[in-house]
Amino acid sequence: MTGATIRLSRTCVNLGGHPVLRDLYFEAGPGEFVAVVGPSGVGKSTLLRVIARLVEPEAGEVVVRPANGGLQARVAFVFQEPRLLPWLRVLDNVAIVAPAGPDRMERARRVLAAVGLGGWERAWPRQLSGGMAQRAALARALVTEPHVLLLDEPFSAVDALTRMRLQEHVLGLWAEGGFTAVLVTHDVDEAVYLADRVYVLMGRPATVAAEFSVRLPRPRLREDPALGRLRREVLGALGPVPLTAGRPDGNLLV
Amino acid sequence: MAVGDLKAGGFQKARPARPRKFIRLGLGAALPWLLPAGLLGLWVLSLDRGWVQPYQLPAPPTVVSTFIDLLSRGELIRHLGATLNRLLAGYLLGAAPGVLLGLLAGSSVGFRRFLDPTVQGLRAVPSLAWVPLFLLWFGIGEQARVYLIGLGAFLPVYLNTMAAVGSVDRKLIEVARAYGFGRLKVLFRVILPGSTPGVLTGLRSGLSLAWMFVVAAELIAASNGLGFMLVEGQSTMRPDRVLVSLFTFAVLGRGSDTLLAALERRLLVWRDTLATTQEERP
Amino acid sequence: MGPFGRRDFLKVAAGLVGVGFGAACAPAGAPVSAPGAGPRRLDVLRLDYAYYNPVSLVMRRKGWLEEEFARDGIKVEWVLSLGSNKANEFTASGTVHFGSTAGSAALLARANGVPLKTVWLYSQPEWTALVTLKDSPIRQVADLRGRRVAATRGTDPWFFLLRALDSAGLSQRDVEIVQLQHPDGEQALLQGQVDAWAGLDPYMAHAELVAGARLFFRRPGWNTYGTLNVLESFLNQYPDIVERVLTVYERGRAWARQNPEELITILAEESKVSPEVARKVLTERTAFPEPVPGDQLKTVLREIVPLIQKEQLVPAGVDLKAAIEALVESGPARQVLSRSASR
Repeated sequence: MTGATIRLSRTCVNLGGHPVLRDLYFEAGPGEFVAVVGPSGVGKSTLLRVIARLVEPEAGEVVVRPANGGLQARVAFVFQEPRLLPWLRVLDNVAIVAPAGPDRMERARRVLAAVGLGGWERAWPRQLSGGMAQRAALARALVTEPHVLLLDEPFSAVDALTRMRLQEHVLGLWAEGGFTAVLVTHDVDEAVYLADRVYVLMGRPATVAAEFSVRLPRPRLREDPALGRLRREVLGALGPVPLTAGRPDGNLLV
Repeated sequence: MAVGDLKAGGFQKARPARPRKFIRLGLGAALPWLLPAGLLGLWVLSLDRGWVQPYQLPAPPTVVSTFIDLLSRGELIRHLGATLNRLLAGYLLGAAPGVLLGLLAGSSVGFRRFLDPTVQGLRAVPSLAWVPLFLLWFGIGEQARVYLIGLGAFLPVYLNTMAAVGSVDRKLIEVARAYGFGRLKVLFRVILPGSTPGVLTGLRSGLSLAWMFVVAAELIAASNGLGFMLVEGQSTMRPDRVLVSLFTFAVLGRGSDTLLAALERRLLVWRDTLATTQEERP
Repeated sequence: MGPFGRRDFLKVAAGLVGVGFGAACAPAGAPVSAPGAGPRRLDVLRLDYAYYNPVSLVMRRKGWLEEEFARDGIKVEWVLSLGSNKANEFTASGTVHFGSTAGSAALLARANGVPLKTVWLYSQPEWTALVTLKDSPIRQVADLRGRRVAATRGTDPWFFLLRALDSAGLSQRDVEIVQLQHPDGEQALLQGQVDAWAGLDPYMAHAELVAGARLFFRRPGWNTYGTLNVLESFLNQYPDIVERVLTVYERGRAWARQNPEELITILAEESKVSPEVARKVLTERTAFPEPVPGDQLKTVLREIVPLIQKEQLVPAGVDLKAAIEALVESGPARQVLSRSASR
């Protein structure tokens, strides 16, 4: 797998007649891990849908070009809910999107093993826990060998421990696969821990309010003070930070 | 009362031993039979006390012996066969278009606008009013009866299928489109399986209506069938035959629904509902 | 488990069963209406009327029964019977106290356990025959094999059909008998939906005159009279009322014999047929003989016993001869006639 270049410039998107994204600029290079944060409802999911071609922009440019020069970039989407087809067993859920061919089932099995669901191929989706189902959704995304992996708040519905495990999983798969990853999240910790760059979306209609680079080498330590500083910067971009005991933080606007 | 029974916060009742579990299991198995047994007792009682006369409501042994008699003479099988034949023919005739048209109406707004108002109008006609109409249009032959049963089966199947298609989770359709499923693939791999629960509900509903219509169709101008047996018993002062017919209807109706329910359970084993979890727990 | 838990439900259900079974096993108490006790006062007297019982039409028109029972404060109600099968149903269920059937239908009911008593013969008719359309290929009973015949089970035309089939060596199984009440049977024949019809007057005469239908098989000697029936319990409880009703029936019989033209008009108006049809029925095919049910009725009923057994119309082992004896009750009629004779 190789990644793709994603570029949006001056992109305007309306939903139901209302402008959601205006004059948006967004870029991700091949193999990059980019996070998008912002207040609820600002339009982060809409941004992902534009990249996935599920929504067409009113104006502006959307380019998704595979790095190795293919014509059409393969884009895979992981939603907030696992969204597995409940009437298909786990293996079939993964296999149904896999490229057709004699080794389709084998690929699906391999990917399921890679996300740690080996042995659960014949289970029904209703028998999986939230975290397991999301892993299955991840496997489904990866079996297509995408150039771009879009993740829309994928871990918000699971508990903290599972979330951390899933984050590690995604990192591992990304490191191995080399695809371009775009993660939408409202969890700033998650954004700075996982991503190379963080976009902050603000406003109605939304534009990019800030952009941060995370130049820390991997593997990163969650307790790294550098991450903590970055986190405060990003939070600052999102708006006034609530007072801690006795020490107000600065209000940084880039 | 032993010291060990005192717990923090109060007394604990001395617990009775194992027998309670057996009693619970036994009563659980007997539960569906309690009410029929009570009704049977009431039946015997009312004859015994003279609340009803035997020529109005024959005693259970009489009904049983008539049943055996009709069975051994092959007469019951003959009537049963005639009724089942009609039922099957009519049911298929109505259910198949019901599913097809329901799918179309559910997934295409244009088609729904074209077909649905007419169907809703038909639905407003009280079901049994169709009987004399059909006899008028198609005469008293087999055709009229099968069409009647078909109409009865069609309506609930169509309505339930259409509703089922409309209630398929939008999120699943979005996932399918996100993975590049074309319109046909979405229809066959998402919408169709997703509407199966509703379609099966409609099929069960259609079956019970088909039973009702087959009775109605056999009450008038028939020469065979269980419904005919009912009228025949009535006309020739044989209430035991009437009862045999009724019971056979009940058994068959229930039996066919049970079969369909079993099919439903197999096809819907993936469903995440109270029903499926109840079945998994013993 | 909440306030009304599973155990409580089971206790209630078990209780229901217990009541049902226990009560059923309890020794039988006295029946609801003991023969010795005084009968409850009758508030409403219900009789049936039928187009095949012309005297009933007269009585209903003239209001003679209402007159007779006015002084007792008993209301009189009339229910239309569309055939012997309906009349029997009404009598057995208590919907009417007096039901008009053919003798054959009354015997069928009695043999099947309905405690009927025939107390009056309201007519001696040739009211049934096998009917087909004018240009139908059917000429005789044997031609009916494999064909569709409309008939109303439990009525005299149906008996007639069975007898006719038997005389041609056929049985019920050899034809397709479509169950239709008499008026619908006529319609079915006229619309060509059946090949033949076991007809009943006045519909039969109507079919003849209106559509030229052919009566291809007739047997006046097979008639089993028009019988007026009551339940045994009614006769036991209200013997005086039975006699009073029969007195009015006798008045009607006398009137019918003396006023043939008016009778035709009444039948035509009630059954909605033309006067020609009514005339054909009443002058050609109806007689009002001696009304006391006795040996003459028993004789014709005995003739159909073999047929009833052959076609298994009653449970095996039923003594039909005994049923005939139990059915025919000449007492009340004799009383009425002797009283009117002595007047």
